[in-house]
Amino acid sequence: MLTSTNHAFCPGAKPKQSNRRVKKRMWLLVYVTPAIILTIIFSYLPMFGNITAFQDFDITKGFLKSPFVGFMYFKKLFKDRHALLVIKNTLVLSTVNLLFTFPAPIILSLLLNELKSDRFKKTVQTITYMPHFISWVIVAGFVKQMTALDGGLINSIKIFLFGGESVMFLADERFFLPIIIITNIWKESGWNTIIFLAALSGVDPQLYEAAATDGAGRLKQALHVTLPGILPAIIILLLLRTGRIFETNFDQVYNFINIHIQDKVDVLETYVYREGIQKAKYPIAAAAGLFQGFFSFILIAVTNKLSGKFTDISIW
Amino acid sequence: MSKRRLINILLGTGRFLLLSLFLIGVLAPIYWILVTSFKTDAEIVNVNNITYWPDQFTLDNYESLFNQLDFGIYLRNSILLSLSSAAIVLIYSILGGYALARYKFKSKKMVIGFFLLSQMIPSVLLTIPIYIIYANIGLINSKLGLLILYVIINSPFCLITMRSFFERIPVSLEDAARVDGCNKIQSLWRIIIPVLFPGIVAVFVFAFIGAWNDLLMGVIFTLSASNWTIPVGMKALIGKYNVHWGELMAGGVIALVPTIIMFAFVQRYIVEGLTAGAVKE
Repeated sequence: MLTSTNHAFCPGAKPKQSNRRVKKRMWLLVYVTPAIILTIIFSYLPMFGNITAFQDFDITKGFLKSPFVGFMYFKKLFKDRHALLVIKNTLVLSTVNLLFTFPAPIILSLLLNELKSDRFKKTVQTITYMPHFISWVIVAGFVKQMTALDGGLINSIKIFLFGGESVMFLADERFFLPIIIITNIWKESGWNTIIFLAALSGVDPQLYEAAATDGAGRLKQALHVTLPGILPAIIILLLLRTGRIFETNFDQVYNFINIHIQDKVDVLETYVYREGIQKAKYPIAAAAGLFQGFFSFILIAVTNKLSGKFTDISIW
Repeated sequence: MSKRRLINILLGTGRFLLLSLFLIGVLAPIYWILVTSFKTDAEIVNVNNITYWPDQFTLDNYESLFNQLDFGIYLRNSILLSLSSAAIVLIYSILGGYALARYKFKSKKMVIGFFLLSQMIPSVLLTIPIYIIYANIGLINSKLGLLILYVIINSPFCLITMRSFFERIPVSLEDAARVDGCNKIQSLWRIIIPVLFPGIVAVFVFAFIGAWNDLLMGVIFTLSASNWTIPVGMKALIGKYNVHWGELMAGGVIALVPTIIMFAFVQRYIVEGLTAGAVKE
């Protein structure tokens, strides 16, 4: 009341005030600049450093003065049998991983959603979220201990059930993929239910009532009401994960790779680490990184487009 | 009708059993780490007699971890780096999140996209160039170098999460506080911070655990054991030809404790924070 009468008598007051407000808010921009600057310096600018892939890189000369050699290192990369195997391994690993680990949280959240007891539901949720916060190195630690030849739990169970000798699970490349998949399901299924449970809670309860009056049992309700309700979430997440099919999780793979199986199960991340950082062969490692980045980018762009088409949700 | 009821009961029991099985599967390894860390070496490697509870309860593994290996140093490094990087990330996210939530400017969407996009750059594309840059400016094998990386890695996500928490606080709440006679500082302390508390906790824990669990950056950018963090030290232990299982498991317990404690306290805030970001827009 008071301010409005003020305006009537003093027309200049309002614009002055809003002007001051804009000035004040300009300060807010300053708040976000440190984060922007750091992200530019350490996330965006370094990408240009991958120019080493086209250079005979000499660390004393730096990025700017090292001589350019064109696509030499890319040609070298695609002639190298190990590098080709690495690319194939990366694709196989992430595809198989996606195939097996993607349905797990969906099944888990459907099971959780049907539960009548809230307390049991909460307990399951809390406990299954926990592994997400456990470091891969710890996972690798207990897997190595449990599969050990000397007193490993899994080997004891195996001998008890099937007899025979102890197996060196971690030193046998046939067990590499299963170990990656099982540990991934163990670590992330619970956590990944969050998004599906959120989608499930958005399903209109009236739909269930309508289905029930039409004579649908709980199974049919799950099939015809619940599943369609979370289908958009499933599609988006599937597309997002597909967009990253050229990537694997370094922390996970690096922890389960060892000398015995390294030549057979190596993936791009571990290859770049070994060639680039440990052996200091920067150009070839950068070429491998660029190859991966290029295809990742295309895939993400395509899947994002598809997601926008099917679900109206896209990142840009 | 009774047949349907029977089916429902069977379904319910099956569901319960499946979930319980999964629950046991999740908990078993954690239990195993804990129990094994208190066993003697002889008991651990005894193939013929696997024990599910230590026959002889011992703290030797923890003792040798700190006395014979450098776990004290790793622990100190980990605590130092995780706490300081989480604190910096928190300040960043509060400032940046507030700006992005409250100030309306044309390129706001672009700024948010800029942060989101930085999360999508494959780490492989960054490791080699950053390594070379670090080598040039002398940040390899230094705690400062790691600290910067942890801040960079964790801040975009935290900033955007924080923004969604700020957006839940209506501007009218601040205006109301002003009308009631609160000054800026008071309204921040009495109104904004309490409402924002879940966001602050969630962001801090995310940043802390992100740094605490990191292996990639630690392995690449540190050389001498005096700069190692717990995951790097653990990795070295795992890689040893002659692994002392007890020590390894004790190391695992030490690495686990902060994460589990934090998680137990804040898990509901974290989920709230995540879904707040997910449901928005």
